[in-house]
Amino acid sequence: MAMTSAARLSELAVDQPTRVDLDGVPVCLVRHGESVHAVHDTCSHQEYSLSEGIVFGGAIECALHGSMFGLEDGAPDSLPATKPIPTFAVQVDGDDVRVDVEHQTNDAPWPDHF
Amino acid sequence: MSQIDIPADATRPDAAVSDARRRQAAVADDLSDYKFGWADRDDQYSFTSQKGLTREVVEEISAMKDEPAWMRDLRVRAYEAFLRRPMPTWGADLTGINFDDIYYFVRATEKQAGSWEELPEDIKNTYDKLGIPEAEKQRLVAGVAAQYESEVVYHKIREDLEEQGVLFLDTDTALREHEELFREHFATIIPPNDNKLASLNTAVWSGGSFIWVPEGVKVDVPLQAYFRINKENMGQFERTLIIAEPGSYLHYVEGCTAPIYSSDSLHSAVVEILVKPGARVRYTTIQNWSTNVYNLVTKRAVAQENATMEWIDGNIGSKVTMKYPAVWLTGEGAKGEVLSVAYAHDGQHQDAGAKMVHAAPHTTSNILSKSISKGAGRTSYRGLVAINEGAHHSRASVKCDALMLDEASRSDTYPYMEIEQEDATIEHEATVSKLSDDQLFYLRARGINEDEATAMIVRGFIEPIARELPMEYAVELNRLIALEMEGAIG
Amino acid sequence: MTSLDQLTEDAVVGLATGDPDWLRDRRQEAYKRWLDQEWPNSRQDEYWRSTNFTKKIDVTLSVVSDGTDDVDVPDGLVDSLPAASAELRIVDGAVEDATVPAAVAAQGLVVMDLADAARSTEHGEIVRTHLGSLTTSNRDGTGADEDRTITLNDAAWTTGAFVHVPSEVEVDEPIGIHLHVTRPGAHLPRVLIVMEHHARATVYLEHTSDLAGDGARALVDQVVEAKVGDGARLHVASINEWGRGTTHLALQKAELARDATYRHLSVNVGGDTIRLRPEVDLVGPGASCFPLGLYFADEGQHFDLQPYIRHLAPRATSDVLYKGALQGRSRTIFRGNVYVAANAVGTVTDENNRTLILTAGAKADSTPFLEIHCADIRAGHGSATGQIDARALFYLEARGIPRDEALRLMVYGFFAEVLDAIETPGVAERALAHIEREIDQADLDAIGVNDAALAELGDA
Repeated sequence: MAMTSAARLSELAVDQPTRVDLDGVPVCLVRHGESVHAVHDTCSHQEYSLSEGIVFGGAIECALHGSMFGLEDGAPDSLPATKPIPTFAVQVDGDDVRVDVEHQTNDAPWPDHF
Repeated sequence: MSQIDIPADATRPDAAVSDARRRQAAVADDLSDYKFGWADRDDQYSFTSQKGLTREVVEEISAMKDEPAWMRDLRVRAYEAFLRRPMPTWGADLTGINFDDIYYFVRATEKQAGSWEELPEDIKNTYDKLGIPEAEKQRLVAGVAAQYESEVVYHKIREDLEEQGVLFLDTDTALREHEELFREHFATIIPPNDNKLASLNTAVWSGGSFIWVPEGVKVDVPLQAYFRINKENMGQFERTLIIAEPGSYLHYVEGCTAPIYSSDSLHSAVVEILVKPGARVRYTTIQNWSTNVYNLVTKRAVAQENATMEWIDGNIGSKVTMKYPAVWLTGEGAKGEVLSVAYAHDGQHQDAGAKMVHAAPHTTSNILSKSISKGAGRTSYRGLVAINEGAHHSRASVKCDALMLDEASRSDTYPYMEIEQEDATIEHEATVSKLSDDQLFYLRARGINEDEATAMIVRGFIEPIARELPMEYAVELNRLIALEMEGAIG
Repeated sequence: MTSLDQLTEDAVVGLATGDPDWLRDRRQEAYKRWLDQEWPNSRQDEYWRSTNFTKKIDVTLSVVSDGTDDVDVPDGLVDSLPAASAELRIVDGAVEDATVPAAVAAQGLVVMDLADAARSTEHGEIVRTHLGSLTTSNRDGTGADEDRTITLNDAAWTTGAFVHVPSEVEVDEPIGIHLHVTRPGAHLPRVLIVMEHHARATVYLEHTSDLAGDGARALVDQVVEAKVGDGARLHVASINEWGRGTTHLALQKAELARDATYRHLSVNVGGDTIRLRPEVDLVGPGASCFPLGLYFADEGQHFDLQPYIRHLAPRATSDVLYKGALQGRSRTIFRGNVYVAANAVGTVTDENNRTLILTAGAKADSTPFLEIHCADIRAGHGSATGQIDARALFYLEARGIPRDEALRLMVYGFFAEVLDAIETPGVAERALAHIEREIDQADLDAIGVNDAALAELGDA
């Protein structure tokens, strides 16, 4: 388990996606109230950055084709995505937001578009 | 399946059709008194009576329909997504669409041609040649298209549906009367931000069909749009949602072969279908919009375990059609099929095809596309077959055949195949050709004139798909082909 | 030297040192076009959709514009050619040697350094007429130079080969051109082949690399132009057997005059990424072309092959056959495009792509396009992707052939159609050697077999 500093809480606007790269893994951070969610930044349907999308009702929408992924469980609520995206463990310590990309909190397959 | 009763003395198919039409006209008069259903409150709603699309128009549409807040919010979200996304640059030429020059919410009565005289020449000609009686002409003028049956049959069908527990309503009513069921499925197959035209539809949708078939119920009669009892059969932004519970069967038919005039230049419908385990749904469309219409449709179905989804798609009319009926095969053993016929004459571009996404093992798909270009018409087959990782032992096959009749004709084939699973099999084959000189010679040597010979060859060409159509459609389609080849219409 | 991204006019002019004025002017015009263009955007550009430009093409690499001394060029195809063959070797950014045996030189065959040819009084005019004729905008408005990577080569090609076969000269022995890359960076080689009417020749383009250092990377951005005159016959075989760390971007384009015949073969087995455009413009009536392709992608390899045939004249024929296999985490894309113009009456075109996916984790795309503007033609295409058929394997094993040998035989059987169609001597053997090497490296236990059909047999 390797919690890495990803961002400062004070710099994260509520319900605005922010992309950070941790150890070569693109991560999308979303602040929802006082907690922060971290999901893999790549859509499971096609290679696209989820941080380009909007956050709505506790989910992030991929701007390419509109599938929404729940920020807690990474599950898509509609087609065209059929697979969930990985969600990661987050620790908020004061102003320091830490994410562990080695600790996936759901069963989602790693996005692999090559 | 509904049959036309052929009178004992009628041996020609056309006699049977005219007979049926006379009976249809009688039923039509009965139905034309029905009020659509929302309040007439012109004085309070001003935005929707203007052209152009704004957030206020979207909210007003929702208010006029008295919709729950979640639907209004969804419409607004879709509207915002519509604004953000640029127009697609692939596919047909859509530069002729002016989004500001459209009424996004118009009553049925206001938008059709006012009288017979107003109809374009080519449509009047077709109606005359097809032998359509006066009363029927009036109805078609009003934009209500259907393949009617006698009144008795019609009422019997409604009774049967009620007995079986089948829900068959227009979408607006379904939202009102079955909100929970509606909300569970609406926009889960085509989300509000799927593509620009689907976003538009999600923002301003009105009318369309909602069908729910209970578990194990098989609906014997093909359900048709007119059974919904309203004039909004030809809505500009129809939204259709069909849910087939496990083990059920449904055949739904929309459109008609006779050309329908619409003053609306943009038709953007969305159809979502959920076929649950072991169920089967067949959705047949014959579209023959007048040649001022841009027909841009998003149709997608989900087939779960051992479910079967069949799209039969006929594109004859419109100026531009972009339509790719899709099946997402998400359950093991699911099957998908698309039979597509496209015909384009001068000035038309049919850009149609299919999409099959294999997202589960042991799934099969089959696409058959037959297209015909005449004069300077252009047909394009555009399709996608994707086999996702994990969809092991899946099989897909695609066959596209194109017939080009004239020197100026154009035909394109754009098949995409993306395979991520090693033990899947995909086969694709396409041919493009003109009328066979040999075949023409053979027929002409037997005294058949060139136009009729051409019509026979064309009918033979599309036969594998035409034989899947309900009989009335197939008969009329054949007549239409004959007329088109004669150059008598179109 | 400058990086691709930061290419300056000075750098371009520097490359033109010693060039005749017309060539320097051309480079500068191309440079200006290049400035106005943007690198391809895989999201927007249909033809870059399958190869992510930003990820796969490193435009920060510096241009290598000179040769390298004391390089031990590996013995390969060109090396094995008989003494009677003309040969030319390019190492990194310079032509190392060019030999035309006396007998064939007497016939009038020219094989030499492209820059020298452009400067010479003897060949300057021919080079001037034909160089760049296939990369600038075409008659119907489309042009290879829409793509910035092509314009880049037009402006900054560093070294190249020139082949000229005069009218009615038939060169029996293959002409071998070997490009070998040893230095990391961007390489911009150019080839110009001019076949006068009724000439005949075969040209081998052998591509190898051996980059020193871990993680060293080279990008080879190549343009090959071939002008095939009336009734002439040209065979080109591009053997892409690069070492690791190498990316090969190439436009290999031919224009065929009346009744000309062109066979193009690409053997794609090396490098990390190959994006190849073997294109043919059939501008003369009755011309015919046979684009043939063989590919075998292994772990980490990405091959994007885009044969594009344009029928611009009546009665021309084209017959495209691309067959390939994948194993390990690899990706291949076949993107064939056949365009038939309105005046191309009597066109006959056929396009076929067959792909064998041997193991899990591989991804194969196939998108054969047809755009037909003329009704009086015959056109067809077919594509099939799948695995080794269990039934056939079963029958071989039932005859006592051990499984791994049977698998080998089936893979060879799959490629046989392409190997048989290769008319150029020596190449089929070499291609076969590559296939054998791939199979030897394969984890035979991991090769999947389509046993769906086998289940039917079991029930029978």
